[in-house]
Amino acid sequence: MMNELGTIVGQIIITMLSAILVENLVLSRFLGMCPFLGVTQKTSTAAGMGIAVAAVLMIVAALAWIVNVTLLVPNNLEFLQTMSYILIIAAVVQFLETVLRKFIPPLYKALGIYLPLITTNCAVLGIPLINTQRGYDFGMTLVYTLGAGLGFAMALVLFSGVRERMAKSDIPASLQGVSGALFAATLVSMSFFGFQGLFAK
Amino acid sequence: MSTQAEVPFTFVLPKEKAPKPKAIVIAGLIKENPTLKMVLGCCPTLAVTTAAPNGLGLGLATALVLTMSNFVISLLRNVIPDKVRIPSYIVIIAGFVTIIMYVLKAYFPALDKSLGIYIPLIVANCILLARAEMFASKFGPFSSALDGLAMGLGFTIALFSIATVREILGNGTWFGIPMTPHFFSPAVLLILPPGGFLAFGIVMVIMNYLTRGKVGGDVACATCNPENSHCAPDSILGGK
Amino acid sequence: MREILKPALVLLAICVAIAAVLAVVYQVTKPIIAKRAADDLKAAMHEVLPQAESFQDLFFDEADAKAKNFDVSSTQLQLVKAIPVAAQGGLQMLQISAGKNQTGAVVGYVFTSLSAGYAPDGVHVTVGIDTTGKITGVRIGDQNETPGLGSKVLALHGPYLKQFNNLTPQSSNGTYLTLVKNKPASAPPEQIDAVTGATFTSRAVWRAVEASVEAAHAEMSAGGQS
Repeated sequence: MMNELGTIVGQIIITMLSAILVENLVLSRFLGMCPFLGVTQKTSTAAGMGIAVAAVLMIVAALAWIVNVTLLVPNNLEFLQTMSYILIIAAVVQFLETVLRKFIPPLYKALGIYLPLITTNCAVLGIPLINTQRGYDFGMTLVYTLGAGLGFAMALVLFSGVRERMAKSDIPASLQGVSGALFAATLVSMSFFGFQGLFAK
Repeated sequence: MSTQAEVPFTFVLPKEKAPKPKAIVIAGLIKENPTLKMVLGCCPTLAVTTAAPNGLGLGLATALVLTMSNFVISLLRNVIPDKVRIPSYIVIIAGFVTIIMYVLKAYFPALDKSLGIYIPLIVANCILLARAEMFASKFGPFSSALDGLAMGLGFTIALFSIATVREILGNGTWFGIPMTPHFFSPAVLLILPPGGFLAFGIVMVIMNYLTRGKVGGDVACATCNPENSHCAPDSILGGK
Repeated sequence: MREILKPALVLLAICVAIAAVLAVVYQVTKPIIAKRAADDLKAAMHEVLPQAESFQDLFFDEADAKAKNFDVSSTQLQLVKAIPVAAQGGLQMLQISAGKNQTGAVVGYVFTSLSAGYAPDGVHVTVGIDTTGKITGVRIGDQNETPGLGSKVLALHGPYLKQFNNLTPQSSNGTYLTLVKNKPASAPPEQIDAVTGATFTSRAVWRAVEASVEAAHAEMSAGGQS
């Protein structure tokens, strides 16, 4: 009994850490590049975007799992997966925007501007697709999605720190903006590459 | 345009005319190249360019989807109410992406396997929604299809060139055929994730240098959000 | 009311139209995709066990057959005689098939397994072993190992995989093959030389082959149809 519980907890920790470090959404899977390059000039905006994406990801992944398992798979409608998932994303984003604006204005002020950007964020579509492909059950879907969202937010915050420093240094004109950011991203990605074999057997 | 000037008191807004076909092609391939000039769709640009066939395959698949979605969206542009514009575009795009996905699975299984989830992720590629919003919702179906094709091929050219460089330098092969002499040990880094950033960074520096820093600015793909004013058609079409 | 109803109806109409088109595409491509997958699987099995003319899937138990969409009610259900341990030390045996010649006699077995490597996804390995215990072929399926390092191990006709070809390993204390680093030239062929810089991937493939050899011997000594 104790042993079994240990195995499950171990599994959860490994999946979570693997999603954050080994399979980092941005740095090793290249999902969500737009916000990674677009809104990381300042740490505060990067953190806001990271939290907004992580939160939306959790809701979207849970809804996508429910729709897939209760509606699509039993009726042989797997071919509607991509379409349903993207509609779920659009609906969730719209819903959150309306609700936050009406009922929690301070939170809307902090995160609202990032919400519309999420509709075309491939990370938010990619995670439900990966969950489906791997056949995760509901619990594992939540664990993996939480890890992926945390990994995303962490990558954004870490990278914004690098870029804040870069903004203060004297770099050639051709290296300013996106191009310079890509070189910095190379180094950050390289350091994350070191996590690759973390759980290798 | 001159006829509009003669009747200054009309309340009917002059309809914007679609650019000439030649201008559309040049804009898509070179002047407004979605990857190199607009910095749209960076995720696939970095993720699938580890080998030349993958870059070519995803580029062509995207071009096909973009041509068809632009055509259909343009046909329906007067039917779709403004309120549900974005979800309608997304559904149409997702439909064409799913069709391409099943065709690839049936007839090009090897390509489908190596591109994996990046095929369904074409849906989230900002280029598609950006072109629907900026072009197809305003102009006729044939101009829109041509715009989709030109933009798609511009994307393909960029992906294919980056993938070619990465595969030759990183793996010593091109389309799997050995290309480099024996004494050259391939720089494996280039086909690893960090190499994606590095290769794209080098391309951007060259583009920046050639155009004196007018590429993408500091905002990159974030501009492709339809509610963002950067995407106003006059800043995209026909320059300043 | 009209302002809300009309947009909603248009969006619904678009969704229904697209879904209908997709249903047609799905119905048309589904059999093609299924046939191609079956052909690929057969080609892969034939590649590692060339002398076999046809293959028969063996199942671990009825639940396994059900999970693999096999018609359980038919009488042809063939079970594996000696059931291998399902997930032992990073190895999961996915499928065992018996290869038969023209007269229907079993000439060997094909084992497909998923072995944990360096990347989290693992490495799919297909191993062919004939009824004398000789390894007739090792082939790598889906994998996501580091390109340029791990992929060196997995190269189809590369020096690493070649080490296994035509070996007839004998058991010593229960193990057949061992993995070593920097193998001396005088060492016996049952010692498999790991590729420098890709130890985990080397181990993944070795583990799958070793498990397949063990399973083949267990199956034959349990009176599997040889």
